[in-house]
Amino acid sequence: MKRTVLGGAIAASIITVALVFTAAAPAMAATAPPKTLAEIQTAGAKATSDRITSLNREIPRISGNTCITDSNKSTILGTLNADLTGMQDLASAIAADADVASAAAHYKSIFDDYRVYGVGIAQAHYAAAADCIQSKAIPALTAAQTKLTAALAGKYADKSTPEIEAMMADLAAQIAAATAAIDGVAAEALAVTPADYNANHAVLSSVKTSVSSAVAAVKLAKQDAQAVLSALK
Amino acid sequence: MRRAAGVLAVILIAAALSGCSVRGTLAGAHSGSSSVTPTPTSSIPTPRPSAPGSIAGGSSAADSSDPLARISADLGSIDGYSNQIDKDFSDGNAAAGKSDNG
Repeated sequence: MKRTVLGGAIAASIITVALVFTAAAPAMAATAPPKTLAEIQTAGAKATSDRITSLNREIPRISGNTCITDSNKSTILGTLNADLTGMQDLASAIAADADVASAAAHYKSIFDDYRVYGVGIAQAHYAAAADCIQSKAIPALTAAQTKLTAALAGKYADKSTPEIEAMMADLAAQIAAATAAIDGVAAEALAVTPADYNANHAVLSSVKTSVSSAVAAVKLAKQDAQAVLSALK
Repeated sequence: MRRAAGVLAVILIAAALSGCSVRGTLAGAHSGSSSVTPTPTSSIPTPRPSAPGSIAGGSSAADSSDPLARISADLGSIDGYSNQIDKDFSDGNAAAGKSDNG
Protein backbone atom coordinates (compact mmCIF):
# COMPACT_ATOMS: atom_id res chain seq x y z
CA MET A 1 0.00 0.00 0.00
CA LYS A 2 2.77 2.39 0.96
CA ARG A 3 4.62 1.44 -2.20
CA THR A 4 1.53 2.19 -4.26
CA VAL A 5 1.15 5.59 -2.66
CA LEU A 6 4.82 6.36 -3.19
CA GLY A 7 4.59 5.22 -6.81
CA GLY A 8 1.57 7.41 -7.32
CA ALA A 9 3.36 10.39 -5.82
CA ILE A 10 6.36 9.87 -8.12
CA ALA A 11 4.08 9.54 -11.14
CA ALA A 12 2.24 12.68 -10.14
CA SER A 13 5.53 14.54 -9.76
CA ILE A 14 6.67 13.43 -13.21
CA ILE A 15 3.37 14.54 -14.71
CA THR A 16 3.58 17.88 -12.88
CA VAL A 17 7.12 18.51 -14.11
CA ALA A 18 6.09 17.54 -17.64
CA LEU A 19 3.12 19.87 -17.50
CA VAL A 20 5.27 22.74 -16.24
CA PHE A 21 7.75 22.26 -19.07
CA THR A 22 4.98 21.89 -21.63
CA ALA A 23 3.29 25.08 -20.45
CA ALA A 24 6.56 27.00 -20.43
CA ALA A 25 7.66 25.77 -23.83
CA PRO A 26 6.00 28.42 -26.06
CA ALA A 27 7.39 31.31 -24.02
CA MET A 28 10.86 29.77 -23.90
CA ALA A 29 10.82 29.09 -27.61
CA ALA A 30 9.76 32.66 -28.30
CA THR A 31 12.44 34.06 -25.98
CA ALA A 32 15.29 32.11 -27.56
CA PRO A 33 16.39 34.05 -30.64
CA PRO A 34 16.88 32.26 -33.93
CA LYS A 35 20.52 31.40 -34.78
CA THR A 36 21.34 32.21 -38.37
CA LEU A 37 21.05 35.63 -40.00
CA ALA A 38 18.32 34.40 -42.31
CA GLU A 39 16.38 32.88 -39.42
CA ILE A 40 16.66 36.09 -37.39
CA GLN A 41 15.51 38.14 -40.35
CA THR A 42 12.53 35.86 -40.97
CA ALA A 43 11.53 35.85 -37.30
CA GLY A 44 12.12 39.60 -37.01
CA ALA A 45 9.98 40.33 -40.05
CA LYS A 46 7.12 38.29 -38.60
CA ALA A 47 7.40 39.72 -35.08
CA THR A 48 7.45 43.32 -36.29
CA SER A 49 4.72 42.71 -38.87
CA ASP A 50 2.42 41.14 -36.26
CA ARG A 51 2.91 44.10 -33.94
CA ILE A 52 2.45 46.67 -36.69
CA THR A 53 -0.83 44.98 -37.65
CA SER A 54 -2.00 44.99 -34.03
CA LEU A 55 -1.00 48.63 -33.49
CA ASN A 56 -2.74 49.72 -36.69
CA ARG A 57 -5.88 48.03 -35.39
CA GLU A 58 -5.64 49.41 -31.85
CA ILE A 59 -4.78 53.04 -32.58
CA PRO A 60 -8.13 53.83 -34.28
CA ARG A 61 -9.98 51.92 -31.56
CA ILE A 62 -8.40 54.00 -28.84
CA SER A 63 -8.92 57.20 -30.86
CA GLY A 64 -12.63 56.44 -31.18
CA ASN A 65 -13.13 55.35 -27.57
CA THR A 66 -15.31 58.00 -25.94
CA CYS A 67 -14.73 56.67 -22.42
CA ILE A 68 -11.06 57.59 -22.13
CA THR A 69 -10.16 60.97 -20.68
CA ASP A 70 -8.44 63.32 -23.14
CA SER A 71 -5.25 63.32 -21.12
CA ASN A 72 -5.01 59.53 -20.93
CA LYS A 73 -5.97 59.15 -24.58
CA SER A 74 -3.11 61.46 -25.50
CA THR A 75 -0.69 59.42 -23.39
CA ILE A 76 -1.89 56.12 -24.83
CA LEU A 77 -1.78 57.28 -28.44
CA GLY A 78 1.69 58.72 -27.86
CA THR A 79 2.90 55.31 -26.67
CA LEU A 80 1.18 53.31 -29.40
CA ASN A 81 2.36 55.60 -32.18
CA ALA A 82 5.91 55.51 -30.83
CA ASP A 83 5.69 51.71 -30.74
CA LEU A 84 4.45 51.71 -34.32
CA THR A 85 7.37 53.84 -35.49
CA GLY A 86 9.74 51.68 -33.47
CA MET A 87 8.46 48.47 -35.04
CA GLN A 88 8.70 49.95 -38.54
CA ASP A 89 12.27 51.09 -37.91
CA LEU A 90 13.27 47.73 -36.47
CA ALA A 91 11.72 45.86 -39.39
CA SER A 92 13.86 47.90 -41.78
CA ALA A 93 16.97 47.56 -39.62
CA ILE A 94 16.67 43.79 -39.28
CA ALA A 95 16.11 43.36 -43.00
CA ALA A 96 19.23 45.42 -43.69
CA ASP A 97 21.45 43.75 -41.07
CA ALA A 98 24.46 41.98 -42.56
CA ASP A 99 25.63 40.04 -39.52
CA VAL A 100 24.13 37.86 -36.83
CA ALA A 101 25.17 40.09 -33.91
CA SER A 102 23.45 43.24 -35.11
CA ALA A 103 20.38 41.33 -36.29
CA ALA A 104 20.13 39.55 -32.94
CA ALA A 105 20.41 42.85 -31.09
CA HIS A 106 17.66 44.40 -33.20
CA TYR A 107 15.52 41.29 -32.78
CA LYS A 108 15.92 41.44 -29.00
CA SER A 109 14.95 45.10 -29.06
CA ILE A 110 11.50 44.19 -30.44
CA PHE A 111 10.71 42.65 -27.08
CA ASP A 112 12.92 44.29 -24.48
CA ASP A 113 12.51 47.91 -25.61
CA TYR A 114 8.85 47.94 -26.62
CA ARG A 115 6.69 45.14 -25.16
CA VAL A 116 3.95 46.10 -27.58
CA TYR A 117 1.57 43.42 -26.31
CA GLY A 118 2.67 42.97 -22.71
CA VAL A 119 2.75 46.70 -21.97
CA GLY A 120 1.60 49.06 -24.75
CA ILE A 121 -1.68 47.48 -25.83
CA ALA A 122 -2.47 45.87 -22.48
CA GLN A 123 -2.03 49.07 -20.49
CA ALA A 124 -4.03 51.02 -23.09
CA HIS A 125 -7.08 48.82 -22.67
CA TYR A 126 -6.82 48.51 -18.90
CA ALA A 127 -6.59 52.31 -18.63
CA ALA A 128 -9.53 52.68 -21.02
CA ALA A 129 -11.64 50.30 -18.93
CA ALA A 130 -10.63 52.10 -15.74
CA ASP A 131 -11.49 55.50 -17.22
CA CYS A 132 -14.86 54.23 -18.43
CA ILE A 133 -15.71 52.86 -15.00
CA GLN A 134 -14.56 55.98 -13.20
CA SER A 135 -15.82 58.73 -15.47
CA LYS A 136 -18.93 57.15 -16.99
CA ALA A 137 -20.31 54.05 -15.28
CA ILE A 138 -19.97 55.18 -11.66
CA PRO A 139 -21.47 58.65 -12.31
CA ALA A 140 -24.39 57.01 -14.14
CA LEU A 141 -24.91 54.60 -11.24
CA THR A 142 -24.71 57.45 -8.76
CA ALA A 143 -27.28 59.40 -10.76
CA ALA A 144 -29.62 56.41 -10.74
CA GLN A 145 -29.03 55.94 -7.01
CA THR A 146 -29.86 59.60 -6.29
CA LYS A 147 -33.07 59.41 -8.31
CA LEU A 148 -34.11 56.12 -6.72
CA THR A 149 -33.49 57.60 -3.26
CA ALA A 150 -35.63 60.61 -4.15
CA ALA A 151 -38.37 58.42 -5.59
CA LEU A 152 -38.43 56.24 -2.46
CA ALA A 153 -38.57 59.32 -0.26
CA GLY A 154 -41.35 60.91 -2.30
CA LYS A 155 -43.77 59.66 -4.90
CA TYR A 156 -42.99 55.97 -4.32
CA ALA A 157 -42.57 56.02 -0.53
CA ASP A 158 -45.46 53.63 -0.06
CA LYS A 159 -43.64 51.01 -2.14
CA SER A 160 -40.57 50.90 0.07
CA THR A 161 -39.95 47.52 1.70
CA PRO A 162 -37.11 46.04 3.76
CA GLU A 163 -35.97 44.18 0.64
CA ILE A 164 -35.83 47.40 -1.35
CA GLU A 165 -33.97 49.14 1.47
CA ALA A 166 -31.47 46.26 1.52
CA MET A 167 -30.95 46.56 -2.24
CA MET A 168 -30.45 50.30 -1.89
CA ALA A 169 -27.86 49.70 0.83
CA ASP A 170 -26.06 47.19 -1.38
CA LEU A 171 -26.24 49.61 -4.32
CA ALA A 172 -24.42 52.20 -2.19
CA ALA A 173 -21.89 49.60 -1.04
CA GLN A 174 -21.17 48.43 -4.60
CA ILE A 175 -20.75 51.99 -5.89
CA ALA A 176 -18.32 52.63 -3.03
CA ALA A 177 -16.47 49.38 -3.78
CA ALA A 178 -16.16 50.20 -7.48
CA THR A 179 -14.98 53.72 -6.67
CA ALA A 180 -12.34 52.45 -4.25
CA ALA A 181 -11.16 49.66 -6.55
CA ILE A 182 -10.68 51.87 -9.60
CA ASP A 183 -9.15 54.92 -7.93
CA GLY A 184 -5.77 55.65 -9.52
CA VAL A 185 -5.80 52.50 -11.66
CA ALA A 186 -5.63 54.21 -15.06
CA ALA A 187 -2.57 56.18 -13.96
CA GLU A 188 -1.01 53.05 -12.48
CA ALA A 189 -1.54 51.17 -15.75
CA LEU A 190 -0.09 53.96 -17.86
CA ALA A 191 2.97 54.32 -15.63
CA VAL A 192 4.19 50.82 -16.50
CA THR A 193 7.19 50.77 -18.86
CA PRO A 194 8.83 47.99 -20.86
CA ALA A 195 11.68 48.08 -18.32
CA ASP A 196 9.17 47.44 -15.52
CA TYR A 197 7.81 44.50 -17.50
CA ASN A 198 11.32 43.15 -18.11
CA ALA A 199 11.91 43.14 -14.36
CA ASN A 200 8.50 41.65 -13.56
CA HIS A 201 6.28 40.11 -16.20
CA ALA A 202 3.32 40.30 -13.79
CA VAL A 203 3.68 44.05 -13.35
CA LEU A 204 0.16 44.71 -14.67
CA SER A 205 -1.50 42.00 -12.60
CA SER A 206 -2.60 44.35 -9.80
CA VAL A 207 -4.15 46.64 -12.41
CA LYS A 208 -5.99 43.68 -13.87
CA THR A 209 -7.26 42.64 -10.44
CA SER A 210 -8.46 46.17 -9.65
CA VAL A 211 -10.31 46.53 -12.94
CA SER A 212 -11.86 43.10 -12.47
CA SER A 213 -13.07 44.01 -8.96
CA ALA A 214 -14.51 47.32 -10.16
CA VAL A 215 -16.26 45.66 -13.10
CA ALA A 216 -17.87 43.13 -10.76
CA ALA A 217 -19.01 45.89 -8.38
CA VAL A 218 -20.46 47.96 -11.24
CA LYS A 219 -22.46 44.94 -12.45
CA LEU A 220 -23.79 44.19 -8.97
CA ALA A 221 -24.72 47.85 -8.47
CA LYS A 222 -26.52 47.86 -11.80
CA GLN A 223 -28.44 44.72 -10.79
CA ASP A 224 -29.45 46.34 -7.50
CA ALA A 225 -30.64 49.52 -9.20
CA GLN A 226 -32.51 47.54 -11.84
CA ALA A 227 -34.20 45.39 -9.19
CA VAL A 228 -35.32 48.44 -7.20
CA LEU A 229 -36.59 50.09 -10.37
CA SER A 230 -38.57 46.97 -11.28
CA ALA A 231 -40.07 46.86 -7.79
CA LEU A 232 -41.25 50.45 -8.09
CA LYS A 233 -42.93 49.96 -11.46
CA MET B 1 -32.02 91.10 -70.64
CA ARG B 2 -33.17 93.73 -68.16
CA ARG B 3 -36.46 91.93 -67.88
CA ALA B 4 -34.72 88.63 -67.10
CA ALA B 5 -32.67 90.33 -64.40
CA GLY B 6 -35.83 91.79 -62.91
CA VAL B 7 -37.50 88.35 -62.83
CA LEU B 8 -34.45 86.88 -61.12
CA ALA B 9 -34.49 89.63 -58.52
CA VAL B 10 -38.17 88.94 -57.78
CA ILE B 11 -37.42 85.22 -57.40
CA LEU B 12 -34.55 85.97 -55.02
CA ILE B 13 -36.64 88.28 -52.87
CA ALA B 14 -39.52 85.80 -52.78
CA ALA B 15 -37.19 82.95 -51.82
CA ALA B 16 -35.54 85.01 -49.08
CA LEU B 17 -38.92 86.02 -47.63
CA SER B 18 -40.23 82.44 -47.67
CA GLY B 19 -37.06 81.07 -46.04
CA CYS B 20 -36.32 78.66 -48.90
CA SER B 21 -32.81 77.61 -49.85
CA VAL B 22 -31.46 80.23 -52.23
CA ARG B 23 -28.40 78.04 -52.73
CA GLY B 24 -30.51 75.29 -54.26
CA THR B 25 -32.44 77.69 -56.47
CA LEU B 26 -29.31 79.19 -57.92
CA ALA B 27 -27.19 76.10 -58.17
CA GLY B 28 -27.83 75.48 -61.86
CA ALA B 29 -28.19 79.03 -63.06
CA HIS B 30 -25.29 80.68 -61.31
CA SER B 31 -22.82 78.18 -60.03
CA GLY B 32 -19.95 79.50 -57.96
CA SER B 33 -21.80 82.61 -56.80
CA SER B 34 -20.08 84.16 -53.82
CA SER B 35 -23.05 86.33 -52.95
CA VAL B 36 -25.00 83.42 -51.42
CA THR B 37 -24.14 82.90 -47.78
CA PRO B 38 -24.68 79.38 -46.41
CA THR B 39 -26.45 78.95 -43.11
CA PRO B 40 -23.92 79.34 -40.29
CA THR B 41 -23.14 75.93 -38.82
CA SER B 42 -23.09 77.36 -35.31
CA SER B 43 -26.85 77.84 -35.50
CA ILE B 44 -27.37 74.10 -35.92
CA PRO B 45 -28.16 72.48 -32.57
CA THR B 46 -25.38 70.14 -31.50
CA PRO B 47 -26.63 66.61 -30.79
CA ARG B 48 -26.18 65.50 -27.23
CA PRO B 49 -23.26 63.13 -26.87
CA SER B 50 -24.40 59.59 -26.33
CA ALA B 51 -22.80 56.74 -24.49
CA PRO B 52 -21.19 53.96 -26.52
CA GLY B 53 -23.91 51.51 -27.38
CA SER B 54 -26.52 53.73 -25.80
CA ILE B 55 -30.08 52.68 -26.22
CA ALA B 56 -32.11 54.56 -28.83
CA GLY B 57 -34.70 56.75 -27.23
CA GLY B 58 -32.77 57.04 -24.00
CA SER B 59 -32.57 60.81 -24.11
CA SER B 60 -36.27 61.27 -24.72
CA ALA B 61 -36.92 58.95 -21.80
CA ALA B 62 -34.49 61.00 -19.73
CA ASP B 63 -36.38 64.17 -20.60
CA SER B 64 -39.61 62.68 -19.39
CA SER B 65 -41.11 63.93 -16.16
CA ASP B 66 -41.52 60.35 -14.97
CA PRO B 67 -38.70 59.72 -12.48
CA LEU B 68 -38.70 56.01 -13.21
CA ALA B 69 -38.17 56.70 -16.91
CA ARG B 70 -35.18 58.90 -16.05
CA ILE B 71 -33.73 56.16 -13.85
CA SER B 72 -34.31 53.65 -16.63
CA ALA B 73 -32.37 55.93 -18.99
CA ASP B 74 -29.47 56.11 -16.52
CA LEU B 75 -29.36 52.33 -16.29
CA GLY B 76 -29.60 52.02 -20.06
CA SER B 77 -26.51 54.20 -20.45
CA ILE B 78 -24.66 51.92 -18.02
CA ASP B 79 -25.33 48.99 -20.35
CA GLY B 80 -23.49 50.84 -23.10
CA TYR B 81 -20.57 51.62 -20.84
CA SER B 82 -20.47 48.07 -19.52
CA ASN B 83 -20.11 46.70 -23.03
CA GLN B 84 -17.18 49.03 -23.69
CA ILE B 85 -15.59 48.20 -20.33
CA ASP B 86 -15.93 44.46 -20.90
CA LYS B 87 -14.39 44.78 -24.35
CA ASP B 88 -11.45 46.85 -23.11
CA PHE B 89 -10.84 44.50 -20.19
CA SER B 90 -10.95 41.50 -22.50
CA ASP B 91 -8.61 43.15 -25.04
CA GLY B 92 -6.20 44.08 -22.23
CA ASN B 93 -6.17 40.51 -20.96
CA ALA B 94 -5.67 39.14 -24.47
CA ALA B 95 -2.67 41.40 -25.08
CA ALA B 96 -1.16 40.74 -21.63
CA GLY B 97 -1.66 37.00 -22.09
CA LYS B 98 0.09 36.67 -25.45
CA SER B 99 2.61 33.86 -25.27
CA ASP B 100 5.24 35.30 -27.59
CA ASN B 101 6.94 37.32 -24.89
CA GLY B 102 5.43 40.72 -25.37
